[in-house]
Amino acid sequence: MWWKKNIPIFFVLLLLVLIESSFFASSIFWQQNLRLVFIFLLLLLLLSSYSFIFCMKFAVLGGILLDIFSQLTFGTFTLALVISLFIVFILFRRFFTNQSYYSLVLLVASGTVIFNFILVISSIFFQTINVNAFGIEFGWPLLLSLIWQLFFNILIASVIYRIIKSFSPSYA
Amino acid sequence: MFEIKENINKILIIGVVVGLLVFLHFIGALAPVENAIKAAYKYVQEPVYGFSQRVFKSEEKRTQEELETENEELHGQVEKYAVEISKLTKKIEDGDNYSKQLEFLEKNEYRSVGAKIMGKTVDGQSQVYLLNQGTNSGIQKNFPVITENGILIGKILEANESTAKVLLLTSNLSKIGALIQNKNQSQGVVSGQHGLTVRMDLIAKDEPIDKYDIVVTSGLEEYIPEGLVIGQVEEVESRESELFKSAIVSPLIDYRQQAIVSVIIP
Repeated sequence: MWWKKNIPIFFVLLLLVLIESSFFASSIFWQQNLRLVFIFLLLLLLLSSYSFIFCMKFAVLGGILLDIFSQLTFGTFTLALVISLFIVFILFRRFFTNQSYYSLVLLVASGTVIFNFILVISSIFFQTINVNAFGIEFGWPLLLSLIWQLFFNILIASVIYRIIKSFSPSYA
Repeated sequence: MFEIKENINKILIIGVVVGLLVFLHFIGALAPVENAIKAAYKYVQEPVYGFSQRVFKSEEKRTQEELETENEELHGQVEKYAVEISKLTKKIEDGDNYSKQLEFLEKNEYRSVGAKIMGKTVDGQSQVYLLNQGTNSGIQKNFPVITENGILIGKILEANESTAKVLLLTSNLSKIGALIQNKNQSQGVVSGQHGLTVRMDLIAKDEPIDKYDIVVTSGLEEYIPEGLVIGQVEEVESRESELFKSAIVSPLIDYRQQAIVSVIIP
């Protein structure tokens, strides 16, 4: 049944967008330093048995939802999600095939950096060509945000990995 | 093992779908879907944002030194306002202030729409908050947004049928004509500073400005009436080499703690 695997993931995405746009709105720290939709999709891609295309479908959906609630140029988040997940998946299949914990950490770290890099470059590009006056400022706050994102993403990935390993010891 | 060549068609389809969605957005064809999503989200965003304010309200913890400094500053303000109050009392006795208020109300006939803040844009840096009212309530772009105490917090950036976005004064992209409530009613332009505070520029160098002077809107912009409070002068900056001086203006309220606002409908 297609809906058995699609519907739960769809609702999780809706919930994560709600948390990012409303629950974290009262806290500058959490809204800038915890990208829930990104880490959810990244872990779905790396730790689940779902196909690449299946995960990319939800990357497009998650990106569109984030773009609707973002002041950046429409498509910025979708682009960043799709490209970063694609690159991470290529790295996963070509260089980190052993699916060990350390491979996971490296993939999450590289995915986080690539995602933020594409987000910043896209927003600066659209600002430069006057499509949108809003953009992400490059500076110490952004670098600090990246460090926090790396910390939280690796922490979340580690916890999820341990949980999966404890329930499924044969997972490799 | 996943092979790019074998799945190239699917990857291309994903790329085309993304491009198509972006294109549809820019021509406005996706607007009904986007508005429907925003309208649906509205009903859950309001309670979630209200809950988040209670959760994160105690996030800001200040040291004793900061509290003592603030206490001293507040004492200074009380003394200053005691003088101002005596001046205003005299004006009321003369009837001057009351007649100006009547003239303002009769001339402008403003009405307002109450709205709740239900979230913030997810990019984190843009200082844009989401409101639960839109064009159906008469809200349009550039209308001023005030709190219940009449303090200006921003203006409407964009609005659809059921929701709107407000750009805070502290955003780098926010610019509003303002004046200082001093003897000369010194004029300038107030712009946001990285989401933290507000700066007033283009103030004539010989204008007398004091700390704690109140800054209000000048009324020179369309839709924004004169007299809406922006903040108070925190620091004056003046360099000999420059023609104008600037003032750092601190908002009188914490924008993150606001839940209910009013949009003035001209």
